[in-house]
Amino acid sequence: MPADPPRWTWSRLARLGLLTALTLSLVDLGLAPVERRLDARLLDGALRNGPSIAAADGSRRVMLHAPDGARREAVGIAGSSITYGAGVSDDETVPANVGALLRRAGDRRPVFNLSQAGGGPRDVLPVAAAMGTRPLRMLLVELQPHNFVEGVGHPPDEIGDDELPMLLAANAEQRRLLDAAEMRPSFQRRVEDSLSALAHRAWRAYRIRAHLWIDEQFPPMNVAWTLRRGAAAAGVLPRRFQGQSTNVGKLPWRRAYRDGQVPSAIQRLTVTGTRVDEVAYRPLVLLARLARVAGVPLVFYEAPLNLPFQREFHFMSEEDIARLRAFRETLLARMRADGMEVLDAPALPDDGYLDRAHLTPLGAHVMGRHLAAFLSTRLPPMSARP
Amino acid sequence: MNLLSWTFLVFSGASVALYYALPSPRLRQVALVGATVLWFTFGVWWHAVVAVAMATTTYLFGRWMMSRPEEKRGVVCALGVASFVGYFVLFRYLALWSGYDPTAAVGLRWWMPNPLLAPLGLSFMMFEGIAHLADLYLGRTEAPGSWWSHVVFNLFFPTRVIGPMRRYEDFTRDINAPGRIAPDDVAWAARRILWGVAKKALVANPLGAFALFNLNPGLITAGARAPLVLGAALYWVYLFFDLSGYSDIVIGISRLFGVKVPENFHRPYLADNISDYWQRWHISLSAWVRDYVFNPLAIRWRGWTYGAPLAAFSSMVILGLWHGLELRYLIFGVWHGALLAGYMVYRQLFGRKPWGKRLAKSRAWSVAGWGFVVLNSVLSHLLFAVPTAAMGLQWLRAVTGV
Repeated sequence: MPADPPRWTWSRLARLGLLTALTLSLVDLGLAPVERRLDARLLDGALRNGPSIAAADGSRRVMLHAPDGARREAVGIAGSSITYGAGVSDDETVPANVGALLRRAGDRRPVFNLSQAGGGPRDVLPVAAAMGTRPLRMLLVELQPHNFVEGVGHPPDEIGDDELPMLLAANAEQRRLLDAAEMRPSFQRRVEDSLSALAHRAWRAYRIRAHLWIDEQFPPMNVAWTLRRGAAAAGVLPRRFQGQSTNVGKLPWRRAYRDGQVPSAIQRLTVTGTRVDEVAYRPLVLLARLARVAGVPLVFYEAPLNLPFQREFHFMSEEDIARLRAFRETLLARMRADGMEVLDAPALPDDGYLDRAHLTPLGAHVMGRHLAAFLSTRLPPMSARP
Repeated sequence: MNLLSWTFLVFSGASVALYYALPSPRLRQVALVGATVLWFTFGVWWHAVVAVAMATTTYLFGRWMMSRPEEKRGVVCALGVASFVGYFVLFRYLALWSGYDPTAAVGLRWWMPNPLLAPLGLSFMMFEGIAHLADLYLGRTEAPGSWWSHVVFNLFFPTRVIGPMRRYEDFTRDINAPGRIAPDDVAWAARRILWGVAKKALVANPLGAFALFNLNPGLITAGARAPLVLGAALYWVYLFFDLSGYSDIVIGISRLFGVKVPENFHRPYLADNISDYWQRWHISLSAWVRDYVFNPLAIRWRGWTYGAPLAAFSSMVILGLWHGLELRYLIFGVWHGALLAGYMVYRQLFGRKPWGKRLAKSRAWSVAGWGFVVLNSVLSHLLFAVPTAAMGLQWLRAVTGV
């Protein structure tokens, strides 16, 4: 019996390869309007998950990809889920409010939401490094004083894939500072980043996969959140479902936790001491230095804290609260003595909170007004229309 | 170098292209070894030195053993095995046991050996070396092989990270075969690689992150039952997709070099008894344990009724401890050893009785066996997700309320 002929030939393989490349190109062409829409919203600060590696990256990559003129006039606002906007829709976040208020006052400069859920000043270091070659007009960084109490400091995380290109964009003086802080990407990471950057430039679906793709840092709950956000944006769900927080109903906290309902113990604020954690404080100093070298004014703004919530559920005693206040004074005094500018938190209405610190649309608006008022006194007039 | 990285994609593509651009098998092997040294150097350069040293050890002990009369080969074989165990202990545990300060390793320059980084594929090289010496000793093979062939065997980068374990004879036959790659092989390899990438990127990665989120120590301490149960179940599924996804990628890339690497997973979720499970899960490892631990022990203890079950128990304890010298891995080994030994005792006592045969053929027994295997697999693999055995116990308390 004659042997079976081979099922595949080189020409058949080549045809399949061409067909695959053609399909990918067509998909990329079809995604062009999606990317344009995303880019436009990104520059208004009304997009939290920008074209990036994963949803968790937020929209920090706008630092690298925004048009030069727009970026030079832009204000970057970076913080945790409070600023990121957990619990509100994209256009109700603090940065989106700041942008809208500035525009209402005739200032059309872009406002970038550079926050990350779970992020803090240490996570802003790559942003500050990128400012070395891609400066902003001003950078505002959220500060939660209780995160600097002695004993809460963690060793630095590994540099994330999305952070690498931002660190590599640092200028020479900043690189020296980063080297001294042992934030120097290895040769291997640089090679991987160069290849990834190539794919990023050439392949639109890869570039905007935060919105389309299931990724390593994209667990099923993020898929659920993405779908929920999409449904809310399309009007199928109420707008408040565009965000995410531990208060799943997205209601002001007194309405959310009623009839004997008690929030989870994760909402408890624990202040064990009154001394500043040196490991946690170091990134603040580095951040200030990186911004100074980049010539970008850096202002820390204190995030408001819902103390009535802590009292209501007996999470904090009066003694704890007094200790927290004393610690806050110590921290802020030290930061100011070290040449850092810190903006005190505004007083928020009781229904401005979802839980211990996350904001309702009202809370985010008050916070946005607070920051916009500060910016209006500090920002120079725009040099040109971005 | 992560298997799911652009660097690995470009590196593998370039290596395959260079491999087939060269005219003779010898030159191709030189290119392959060079590529693997480059690959090691891209991570930790001295790991390549260790791989060559272990290849040389296999070669020297093999030659020495075969130069001696048959009845005197046992001592040489034992010495060779002890050398491999020595390598393993030296590189895996010496820094830990000597009280080396991990923070001292932070500031090391790239060219300074970091004692905390055990060589990639160390345990696989140990097992493969032991297997070759044991095969020579047992007369399964007559050829100790050349030094170069052992270097090529050890410095084959696709299988260095996560296996599957190979046999020296099969590998040398494939790698020495002349000829060019066929389009069928390319198509087969591409399909296998894409399948592995899909398993890893689309299923394992998101599932693993979600499972581990549900198994974080905070939730275990808080006793959140529903996420803990979900986390444990998904963690096992994640392990399967992760390991088998990686295996698919490795098997596909190896085929591009003309090397047929053994399969590592064969639908373990369908196993309806624990013996069947271990013939489907991490097949190359369990086959190694069967051939080089279980069989010799079972033969040695064959005069005793419970010799084979005891050999199975001992084999699984060793398999457990292979993952690390920790209590949780010991528990894993004892757990599966007890299950396997229990199953063998059951087969010995009741398997040949008429009702035992009828029962084994019944659908209900098969479904019950399947449930039992899945339950035990999920629970025992939880020990890989938690940082300590105590945390595993705490998980059990939280879920059962006991």
